[in-house]
This record gives sequence, C-alpha cells and structure tokens, in this order.
Amino acid sequence: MAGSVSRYAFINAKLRARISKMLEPEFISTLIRSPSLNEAIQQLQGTPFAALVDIYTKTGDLKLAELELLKKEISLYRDIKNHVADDVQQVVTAMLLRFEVENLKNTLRLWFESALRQGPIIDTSVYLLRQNILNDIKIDSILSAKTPEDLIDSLKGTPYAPIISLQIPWMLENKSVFRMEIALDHYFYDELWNAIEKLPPRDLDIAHRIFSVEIDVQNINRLIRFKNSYDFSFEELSRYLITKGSKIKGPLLSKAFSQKDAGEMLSILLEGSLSGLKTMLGQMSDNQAGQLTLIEKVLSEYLMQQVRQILAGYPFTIGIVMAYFILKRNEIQTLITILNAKYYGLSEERIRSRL
Amino acid sequence: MIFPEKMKHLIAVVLDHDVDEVTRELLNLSLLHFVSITDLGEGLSSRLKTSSPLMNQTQILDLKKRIETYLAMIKVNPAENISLDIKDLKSIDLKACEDEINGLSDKMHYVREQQKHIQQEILKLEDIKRQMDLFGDIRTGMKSSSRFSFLNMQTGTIQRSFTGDFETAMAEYPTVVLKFEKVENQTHIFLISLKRDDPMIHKIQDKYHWVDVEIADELSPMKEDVISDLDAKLLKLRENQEKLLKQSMEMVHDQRKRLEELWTNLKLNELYGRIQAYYSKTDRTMLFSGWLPAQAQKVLEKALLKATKNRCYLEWSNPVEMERKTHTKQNVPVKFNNPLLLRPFQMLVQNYDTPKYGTIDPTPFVAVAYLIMFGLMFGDVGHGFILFIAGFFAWFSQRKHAGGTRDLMQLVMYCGLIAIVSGFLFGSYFGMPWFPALWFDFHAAIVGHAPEGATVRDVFGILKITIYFGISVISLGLVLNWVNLVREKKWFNLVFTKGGILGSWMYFAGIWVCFYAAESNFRLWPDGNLLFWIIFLPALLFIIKPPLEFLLHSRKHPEKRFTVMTLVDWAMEWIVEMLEIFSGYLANTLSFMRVAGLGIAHAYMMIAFFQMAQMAAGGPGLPYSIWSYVILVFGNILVIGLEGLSAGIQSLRLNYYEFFSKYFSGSGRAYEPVSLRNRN
Repeated sequence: MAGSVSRYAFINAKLRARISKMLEPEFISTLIRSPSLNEAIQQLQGTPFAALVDIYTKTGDLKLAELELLKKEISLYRDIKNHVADDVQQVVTAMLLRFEVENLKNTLRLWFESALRQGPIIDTSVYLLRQNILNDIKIDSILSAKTPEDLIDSLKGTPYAPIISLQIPWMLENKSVFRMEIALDHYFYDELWNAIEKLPPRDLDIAHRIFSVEIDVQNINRLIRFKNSYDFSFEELSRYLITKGSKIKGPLLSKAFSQKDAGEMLSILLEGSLSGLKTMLGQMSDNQAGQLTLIEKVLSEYLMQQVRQILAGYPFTIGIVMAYFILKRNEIQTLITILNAKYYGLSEERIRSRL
Repeated sequence: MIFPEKMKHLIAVVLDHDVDEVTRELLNLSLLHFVSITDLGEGLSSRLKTSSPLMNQTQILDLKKRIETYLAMIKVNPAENISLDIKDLKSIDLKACEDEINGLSDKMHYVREQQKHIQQEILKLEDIKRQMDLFGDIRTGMKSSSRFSFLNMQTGTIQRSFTGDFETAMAEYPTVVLKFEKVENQTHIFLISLKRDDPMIHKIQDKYHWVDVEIADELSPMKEDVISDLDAKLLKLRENQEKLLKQSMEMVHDQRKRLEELWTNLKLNELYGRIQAYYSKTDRTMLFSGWLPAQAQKVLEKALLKATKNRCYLEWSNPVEMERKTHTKQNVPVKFNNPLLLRPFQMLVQNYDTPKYGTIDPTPFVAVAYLIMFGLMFGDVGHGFILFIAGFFAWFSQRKHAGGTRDLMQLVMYCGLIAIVSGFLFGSYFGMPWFPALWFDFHAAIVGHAPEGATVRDVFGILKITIYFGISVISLGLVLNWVNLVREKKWFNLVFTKGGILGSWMYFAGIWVCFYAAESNFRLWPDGNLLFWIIFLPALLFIIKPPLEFLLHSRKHPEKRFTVMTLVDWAMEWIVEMLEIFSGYLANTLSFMRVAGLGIAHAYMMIAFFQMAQMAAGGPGLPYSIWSYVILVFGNILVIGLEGLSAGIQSLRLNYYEFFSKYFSGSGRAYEPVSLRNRN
C-alpha cells in the first residue's frame, strides 16, 4: 500500500488539479452558442487552450490550430512521463506511440496518393505533424519517396521499416494501404499490451479494464464495417481484429459474424462482458451508419463511466493517469468538433448531436 | 466592525405604471438584495403571478458576451473600464444590436479567410522549401522531377515584354519564378510549381507563349537562388499576414466606442431585467421584496416615494419581525462592515465562509491573529522589506483591477510590514544582528548564545511564547463563541458544548493544572478536591446533556422512545464528548507550536546559508569570496520565498482550524444587491 502511495501521490495530486481545470460543460455550451468560429476561438482566451487564440488570430487557419492541439496533447504525455515510475513510464510511452502511428498512417496515405496515384497532396501534407514523437521519422523523406523501395529506405532505423516492408506486395497488388494501417495498429496495441503486462496487479487490472473497452470498440467497429462493406471472409476479417485484450473472440466472434443484420451482430457482440451496454443501447437506429455512431457513443459513454469509477475509487493507481488522458482526449476532441462545426456553420442542435 | 451591518427587509407594492421609474430608481441606488416575494410565505405563489422581463435575458447575455469577446481582442475589459450610469439606459432593439455585431463578425470572417489563404500559401512555400532542402542538386531535380512528387520543375522561354505580366500571373499561385538569362527578345525562366496547380499554370504558360527549352547545366539556376526567391516570397506573405492581423485589430479599435456603448446599454438592460425578474404581480400592482442595510432605509424610501409620487405601499421589517411574520427562519444576507484596510483579511474570511447574520464577523480578529503569527514565524527586517516592496509593486500593477489578486498583494505588503516590526523585536536583519533586539535575539536563543538576563534564552522559551499565544487565541475564540450563542439565544449550546461554558471551564482548568504541574517539573499536582471541582465536576455535568437533549427533543420527535439502548447511547455520547474535549483542546493548543517551529526553521536556514558562505570563503574568519555573496543572495531569496509561503499558509491554517472552529458560524450568504457598481 505504501508503495502505491509513494508511486502515485504526486501525480495524483497534479492530475486531479488539472482535471479540475478542464473546460466546464457551461463553457462548452457557450462555445456551441457562439455565432462564428472567430468568436468561439476568442473565448478560449484565459483557458489552457489560449495558444489556439494566438495561432488563429495570426493565421485564420483552423487546421493549424488543430495541429497545435495535437502537439499540446503529445506534450502532456511527455510531461506526465517525467513524473511516474519506470513501469508506468513504459505504458505512457506505449500510449505516445498511438500519436506516432496515427501520424505515420496519415503520411503513408498521402505518400500513396502522391507517389502511386499521382494525386495532389500539398493541401493536406502541410498539416502533418513534423516532430519526432518516439522515433526519428522523416515525414518529408517519406512524402518524396519515389518508389516503395525509397519508402522503406526513408523508414530505415525505425521499427516501422519491417512492418511496412511486409505489406508492400499486398499494397501494390490491391492498390491500397489498408493492410499497412492494420499492421501498424496491431504493432501499437502489441506494444501497449506488452507495457501493460509489466504493471503490478492492481494497476494491471485497471489498465486491462480501460484498454479492453477501447479495443472492443475498435473491433466491433471493424467487424460491422468490414463485413458489410468489404464482404470479407471470416478468416480474413479475423486477421484484422485486435486480438490482445479483446473480449470479442472465439465462438462469440463466429456467431456474430454469421449474422446478416448489423443490429443482430451488435446484440450478440454485446453479450457477456459487455452486457451492461445493452441497456444503454435502448434506441437503435435502423441504418448501419446510425448504429455505428450510436455504438461508438455508447462505448464512449461506457469508457467515461469507467473513468468516473476510477476517479471515485482508490486514488493511488495508474487509473488516475489513464483517466486524465481519456478526459483530456475527450476534451480536445470536443473542442475540435465544435470548432470545425463552427467553421462549417452547423446549427447548435447538430453540434450537440455530434458530441 | 465586529458585527456585520444591521439589515432591514422591504416589501413594496407599486402600481403597474410606476414600474419603470421604480426599477430605474432601484438600479440607480443599487441597494436592494432581492428576494422573490413568493418565497416569503406559502400560498403567496398561488395568488401572485411572476413577472417576466420584457426582454430575453439569454439573448442579452449572449450579445454582451460577443461584444466582450471582440473587445478582449484589443485587451479591453468593459466590465472594468466602464462606469455604468442609469441615464444611459435606453430601450434596446436586440435584433438591430445583433445585426450590428454580425456586421463586425462578417468583416472579421472576411479578414480571417484572407489570412487563411495567405497562411496556406506560406505553408505550401515552406513545404516547397523543405523539399528543396532534401534535394542536393537542382539540375538533377529538373531531370527527374517526379522524385518531387508534388512539384513541377520546368525551364522555358517567354517574350521579354511578357515577363512582368507572367510573373504577376504566377504570383497568384505558390510558385518560384527565376529569370536567369536574357537572349535577344526572350527571357529564360526556371519555374517551380505544384502539380496540383498544373491546369492553371498551363493556361498562364499558354497565354504568354511559354516554350519549353532544355538548358545547359552550367546555365541552370542554383539551389540558393531558388531558396532566396522562396524566402523573399515568404517574407512578403508574412508581411501581408501581419497587415491583415493589424487590420483585424484596427477593425475592433475603430468600433470600440460603439461596442462599448452597446455593451453599456446591454448591461443596463440586463440588470433592469434582472430586477424585474424578482417582481410578482397582481392585476394592477407589482410587488417586490429584498434586504438592504438598515442605514440605507431612508434613502431608498425617499427615492421610491418620489418615483411613485407617493402611490406605493412600503413595509419595513427587521429580521426578527420577518421571522415572526413569515414563521420561517430568514436567511438574512450579510454585509461586511470593515474599513478598506481590512479587505485582505475579509477576503480570507469569505474564502472560508460567510458568517451567519447576527454573529461575529471575524475579520478584525483574523487581522490581528494572522499578522502576529506571521511576525513570529518570519521576523526579519530585511526579508520583511523585500516582501513589502514585492507586494507593493504587485499591488500597484493590479491597481486598476478590483478583486482577489489585489487584496492578496495588499496582504503580502502587510506581512512584509509585520515582518519588519518583528525583525526589530528579534534583532534580525537579513539574518544578521546589525542592531540589538528590542525584545530578544531570536537567533541567539535558538543556538544557545543568548546573553544572561535575556527574556528568552532557548528554544523552550520560544515554544512557551507560542503556547501562550495559542491559549490566548483559543480563549478569545471561546469568548466569541459565547457571544454568538447568546446573540442567537442558543442557551443549551451555551452551556453543554465543547465551546460552551462547561467545555471552556474544563479547558481553562486544564491549562491551569498543566502550568501548575509544569512549574514543579510535574512532581506536584493540585489537591484532589480542587481537581474534582475544576475538572471532574464539569465533566460530570456533561452527563446530563444527553437526557436533557432527549427531553427537549421528545416533543418534536415523539417517535423517539426511551429504551435500555438509549442509556448506552448516552454513556457512549458522554465518553466520546470527553475524549473530544481532552484530546481536541490539547491538540488545538499544541498546534500553535508550529509557529515556533517555522520561526526556528527560518532562523536555522539563514544560519545554514551563513555557514555555507563561510565555507565558500575558505574557513571561519576569512573575508567572504564572490561565491559567499552568491550563496547569501540565493539563500535569502530562497528563505523569503519558501518561508514566506510557509508562514503565510500556516497562519491561515491556524486561523481556519484552531480559531474559527471555536466560534465561527458560517453558512451565511453575502449581501449582493443588483448593482451598477458590481464588476462581475
């Protein structure tokens, strides 16, 4: 017990103080009511997001402000990494990998569009994150790679070179980076799970609980989307699911796969350990996109429930770190959604329905 | 000053057609803390209708917020800058106001779009520059331009007379146009453009009769030329971006007066609407009620009579009368009655809670106790001076802002002053004894070098001072508690509580016994008979508290029956109460030893830095080196920062937990009239 107190006493106090400074629902409501993007952004003055006001006022570029948010989120992880024990540091590092993998996936999509499809990419490429997160990834070298060989060459020295290299033949044959992205996701979740496994029992239990929900969200999403949109076989689809940490496997998976209707599929997937979610899914819309949005919302609410439980429970665990990251991501996502909605002039009701 | 201001309650009935004048008067005087009249008694709500404000309050607030947002862009806070005057209150057309702000919003949007466009050009040129940086030799680039997946590099010629127009046309897109040779009537041009823009680029090339040509390697431009062209373009774009930023700011600056006018009127209408939201109405009259300081009664009465030409009914009551009339406990708002000098301490009290109406306002006592505690912990003339100066500059920088930060800085100044005073008393000047102590030498006492005949000669002497001080503070707290209980007519609590007469009796007796025993090194104790009368008798009297309480409450709670378990409960209650009195008071008193602890730590830290400075000089008695002075400066800064903060926090803690807990009745609510002068 004393060990966990000394491990988490400081970070617990620090993060709880930060959580109390997060944007309040009333403030979010004021942002939603702002009649223009400029006015919404100006309201962030005096909040932890004041840097956005400066960027937007100087450039008028919302995407640049979003890039700043991403940098800010990454710096939060780095900051917290400095205040936790070695094993927790490894988990935070693995969580940082998510940003690197997502950035690399975006870069590879653009490279594919430019090098293999000869499409214009500069409108998007300028907004790629060009800072090293964990590995030395040369975004501009990747983008200017002329051939797949050049691409592998530009990734040399990073753990991604062998992963991408394995997927090149499939990419060339199928003209898609789909499998590359899946392989990168698997790499991220494998690394994350390996880091989690080194935690002491209480932390391990909390980390399992949180990440299992996230992984199941991913898997349910993939299962419904891939089966109905791409008509994959069971074996093929199984390859694309994240295995570590998922509660959706074995007979449950095959039973869900055998269903034709997405609604029935969901209802089977939510049996067992996720049965609590079924009650939250009271109203299911008929169309598949609606169902997916709904399930994402419900699973996100489920995740928030877990966070609330963690915050109300024993404070000296990794739970506080994870709860903070989840809350922070949620806050940033909410902010991005509102600001983009303001940019596109969406009504208050539509914005609220998207949050 | 010791008690908050006396309050009066007003119930007013005015005719419907006088409502506007009355509302304006109420707002102008800014005296009434409104209470909804339907809250005063059951049945009123069914007979009265609530009055809805004439204008949509949410819309007013939103428009006001929008104006504040724009003014914030030019660092103007209307809430702080504008003095509201009721004469400026005009009827407002919210639609017109909204249109006006939308006009500014549209103009701003236009500028932002321009900024965005320029920014994207900047980003693209920077991207081109990055790509160029990756590439060593530009000539190879021209030959294998596909390596630059989104760049096109071309060389060609156009007629010399078209050169200027061609450059102007190309300037619309992120391009690099380098003229590197003029032959006869032709200009050779090296062009870098984005593949995305190919269709438009080709159109321009066709328009100016562009002819692709291959040029000799030695004639082709250098990478440096391209980079410098890109840099020039980037510089120009950044200048344009600066201009647009200025333009957006000037736009708000130009509108500042109008925005402030609109804000003022919106704010006045908001307050006007807020007052009217408290009105209740019958068919022909309006009713409202609220609290105000008793001394302001005449002013308000006169103003209301004037506004209604004597056609109004005003009923004034004091809190006791109100309780009698309504048969409910009134939560009377509390208006502090302290001089401006005590504002920082009032802030400390409010931070804890608002005292209940009719009870003691602890502000003046906190001021004295806080400063004495701080002085005992942080007694040094030099450190106090630095603290005062720092506090003064911070306070001065906040002179235009009312509120917590300024009050806090004023508190820092006071702490600095008391540290100077106690520094003189303890003879400490940046940790050095430059002048003799007026009371006793603190440093000498803790290191055991105090001269013969000194008032305090060792650490125990210092601890004794803080214990005496603690006893004084707790005793004062107990006396104040009695005053509060008498004023609230809580006679039972006055006798049978830890802070009441019996509890205090045990505390004072306990203190006397401890000092008696301490004088003989705990070898002699008072006579047993005496001990019985002063300690055990009040303890035994506490036994009757639970049965008495049971009897008093049995009327209100007839369901509570006497059983054998009731006796057990009473016994347990008595035991717990005794434990709480003995251990609680002991802990409360000893808690004041932290004052000595912090004072000793302050002195020892300075001693440690002097020793380090001496070591840096090479040994005792040797003249200080430059490093010695560095250590002393650093040490003083550290002590001022660290000890100043610790002493401030501990003084606050002792006030909150050892002093307030004895008598402070919180749960009051602050007097908040709807006011033109409220900055929030």
